[in-house]
Amino acid sequence: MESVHFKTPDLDPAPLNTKIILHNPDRCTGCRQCMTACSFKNFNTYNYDLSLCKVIRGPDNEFVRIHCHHCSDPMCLAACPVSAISKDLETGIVSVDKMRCIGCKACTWACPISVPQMQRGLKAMTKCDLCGGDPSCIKVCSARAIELVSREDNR
Amino acid sequence: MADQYNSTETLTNPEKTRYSFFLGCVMPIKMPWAESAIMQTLPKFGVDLEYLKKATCCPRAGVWKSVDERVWLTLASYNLLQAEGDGRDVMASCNGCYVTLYEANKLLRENPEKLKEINGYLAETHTHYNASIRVRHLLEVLYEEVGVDRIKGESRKVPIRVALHPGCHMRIFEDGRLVRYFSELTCALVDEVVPYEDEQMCCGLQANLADRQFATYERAKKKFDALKALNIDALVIVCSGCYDQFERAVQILKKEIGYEFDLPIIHLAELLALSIGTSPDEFGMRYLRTAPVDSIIAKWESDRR
Repeated sequence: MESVHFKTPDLDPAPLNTKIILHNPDRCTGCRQCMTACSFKNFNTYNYDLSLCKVIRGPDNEFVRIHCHHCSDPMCLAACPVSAISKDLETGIVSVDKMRCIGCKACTWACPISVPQMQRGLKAMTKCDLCGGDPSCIKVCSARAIELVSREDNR
Repeated sequence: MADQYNSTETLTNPEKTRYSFFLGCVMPIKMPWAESAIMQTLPKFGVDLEYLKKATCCPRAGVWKSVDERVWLTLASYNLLQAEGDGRDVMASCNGCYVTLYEANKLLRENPEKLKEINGYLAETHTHYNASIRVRHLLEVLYEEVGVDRIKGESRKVPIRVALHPGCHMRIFEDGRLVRYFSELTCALVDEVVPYEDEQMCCGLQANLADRQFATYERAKKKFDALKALNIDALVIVCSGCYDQFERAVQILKKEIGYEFDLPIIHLAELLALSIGTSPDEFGMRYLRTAPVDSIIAKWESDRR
């Protein structure tokens, strides 16, 4: 049987036009509209458990948003034993190939904020893919607490 | 971004401020005192106001943007074209209605192709929208067209202490002007506005879509707890959506855990009406409340004697 070799792509240097979601706790009202929009976009239902972003209370009672930062050097990608996670070097989006994923959760443990989650009913991991570059969550945030910004411009 | 669109742009007919009042779903059913206070008070400050006739649901942008943008824009346009046909701009008090109509109008004004598509759907009802009008919030009308100075000059403060609940959609503009208008207008109408830690927090309305327990206990009740500790006379709102959530949460909390929230929730327009001497019974202030407003009326009557 032919062996398969998986290789981590060379990620340096980071491209200059990648976008990330930036959250401003000073504007966030904790309405969780971003979470309902996310769960509807990805699973056609309003279910906080299925949302790929989370808004919770922080240690100082502020609202904290947990979402994928599409890291320049993703720990999830490095931890995946079957190279199911890849980073698009043009858009910067980190995504999971669910046909390859074996659901071992190594990505969840490796991620500093445990973003990847098991997709219910699929036994494969799932995570934010920025809706392909046009995130649904941002469209519904009236308080303008989240915005899509250039990583490079906001370092 | 929304605030790149200048809602204070020059009117087609700049000397006239004529509005169709978009009531929304909640106000006529649960807040008749607010509707009546607005309709009675604004004309006294020179605002030409009529009901927007043949109105449908706004509809909720937060839902319909996710489900089907075409439904959002078509229903919103159907409302807007009613006002356009009357040669009026639209005014809304509910933050949710304002945001959905404002953003739909902005998108259609900036995107002729989208407007053409939506007019294709509207043609089924033999209607057409030109996107030639403005959508304004009650706060914009009061603050920018009537003015705080005029209101101060023609009113007497209601002798009560209140807290504010602005609501999420009031934060639509980066400069936070609607929240500032709300705060300054209320300060002009009462003795004291008391700040509190969770003032910015959502009422929980949106969360009902996914988790009613969370909406009731982690949002509405948390806010109620903070407000009860303030020793104030009322919570002031302008958003019908927020009122809808609070009204429902008050009932659920009382039924499920015997929780009493006896602080009156009142609309800014009620304060405006009282401050210019309108009797509470002229706008039905005593009825359909989450908590009795007798103490507020007693303080107002005592001050007017």
